[in-house]
Amino acid sequence: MPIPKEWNLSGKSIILTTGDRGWGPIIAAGLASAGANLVILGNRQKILDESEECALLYKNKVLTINTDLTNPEETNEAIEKSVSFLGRLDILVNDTQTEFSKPFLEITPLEYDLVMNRNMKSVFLCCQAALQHMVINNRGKIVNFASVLAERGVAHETAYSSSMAAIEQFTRSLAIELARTGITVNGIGTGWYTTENIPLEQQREDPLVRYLPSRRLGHPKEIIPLLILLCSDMSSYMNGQTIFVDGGSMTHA
Amino acid sequence: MLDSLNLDEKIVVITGGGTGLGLEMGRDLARAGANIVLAGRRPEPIEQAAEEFRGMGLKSISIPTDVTDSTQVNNLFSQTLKSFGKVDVLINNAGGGSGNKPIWEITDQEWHDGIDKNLTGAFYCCRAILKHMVEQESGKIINISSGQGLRGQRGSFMYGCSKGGVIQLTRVIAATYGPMGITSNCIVPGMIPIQNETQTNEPNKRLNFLPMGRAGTPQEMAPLATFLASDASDYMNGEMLYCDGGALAGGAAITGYGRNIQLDY
Repeated sequence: MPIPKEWNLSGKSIILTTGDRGWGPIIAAGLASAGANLVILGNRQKILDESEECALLYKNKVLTINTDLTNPEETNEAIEKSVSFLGRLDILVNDTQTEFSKPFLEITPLEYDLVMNRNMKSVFLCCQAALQHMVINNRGKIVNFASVLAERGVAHETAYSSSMAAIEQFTRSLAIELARTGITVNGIGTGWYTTENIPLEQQREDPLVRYLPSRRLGHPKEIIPLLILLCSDMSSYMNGQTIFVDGGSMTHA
Repeated sequence: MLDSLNLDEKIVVITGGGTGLGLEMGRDLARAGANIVLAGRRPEPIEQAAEEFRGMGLKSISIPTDVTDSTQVNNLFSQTLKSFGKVDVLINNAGGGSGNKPIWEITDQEWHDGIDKNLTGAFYCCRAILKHMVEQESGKIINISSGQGLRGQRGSFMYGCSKGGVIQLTRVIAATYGPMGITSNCIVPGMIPIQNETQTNEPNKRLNFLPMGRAGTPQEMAPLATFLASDASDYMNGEMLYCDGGALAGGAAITGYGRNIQLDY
């Protein structure tokens, strides 16, 4: 039985922003496998190169631009270049995440600024620049990556969890502001993940994993179908929600 | 990646499957290849839907069931297991509103009926099939709640309380049986227009308070059931998927309302 045709992104133009965690290649491959043309932005050349290589396997248009997404001028310029390469812009996927954990009293003001800028300000700047190209068509989709720490408190995560909560709330307010324009804004909140192939028994030595209803860590490829759903025409009435894919960690007491 | 959305050979039970959202979810699941068992109080709509799905080359049966009667619910699952040998997915969709009157006028019977329709029915169905799912080490529960289960809607006593209960049922099942391979998630639809409203193309002024200025359609919500029924959602558990055009993100804010306050610097 064939999969309904709305379940893919053939011919869609997507800008994917990346940070310094290694999910770029997996997300790029997922979007490309669904048929999308991609521009990948970020300032980690290794992540850009690997993402490009993975996306090119699906024979769609792919471009990478090394740029600092916390800088407004660079971000605007990169988005302009992306749109002229793609011809138009349908979707923006923001995964500019930087991970950071440290006891609260040891966090320096510079570290705080870096975490907030890389996680939140970059999303703000990318949305502002990309929306110029979406509002003219009254059509578009934005997906912002956040974390379960947007809603749960964890020790040593004051800076990081604040930045994640900021993204979730940004997603809600922007969704409401744009609701009559035909542009939707949603999010994906990820839980405890790994990109390595760790055997289950070894994973469960960690008390955190034994506490998860899934009894295992997630792999970023597991968020790809939801990401495709949120990028596709199927999710036309979904708006303003950050959906958690977390093996049930948020459901737990 | 999209192969994981295929539902070939999956057995899906949908309660309240003959009309409205239940029927549209069935159609979407059928397009992805699922074999569907339809339960509902009235025999005609569910049999008609089963016939439609059989016409697509799928196995589909209808079993008239009132989900507020546990004997009928147990019969639904024993008949399903007899016919198909397994149940992969249960969609608790049966339910409905229960009037709007001052709290002091609600009778014991009206309270219990309202809670039974939406919450007790879903509990009976979960209770009847979860042991089987735990034994087969896989199974997906999809509950249908409502924005009224999360926010207070004027006068919505039985409906609001029971739909809030459905969300908690979803979470408790996820926390309890997640380790045994079960996932339990919830679709939270926003306002769906009643049939005769969908047929007019004029913008409905009554819906102006919604962020998108329109209600959703069952067709816009149905793909979420296919997503949650498929392997594509395996790492999601205990979660709600809102399909409300942004209503829960904003609450009862006045659409178009936005302040302008300058920053002092």
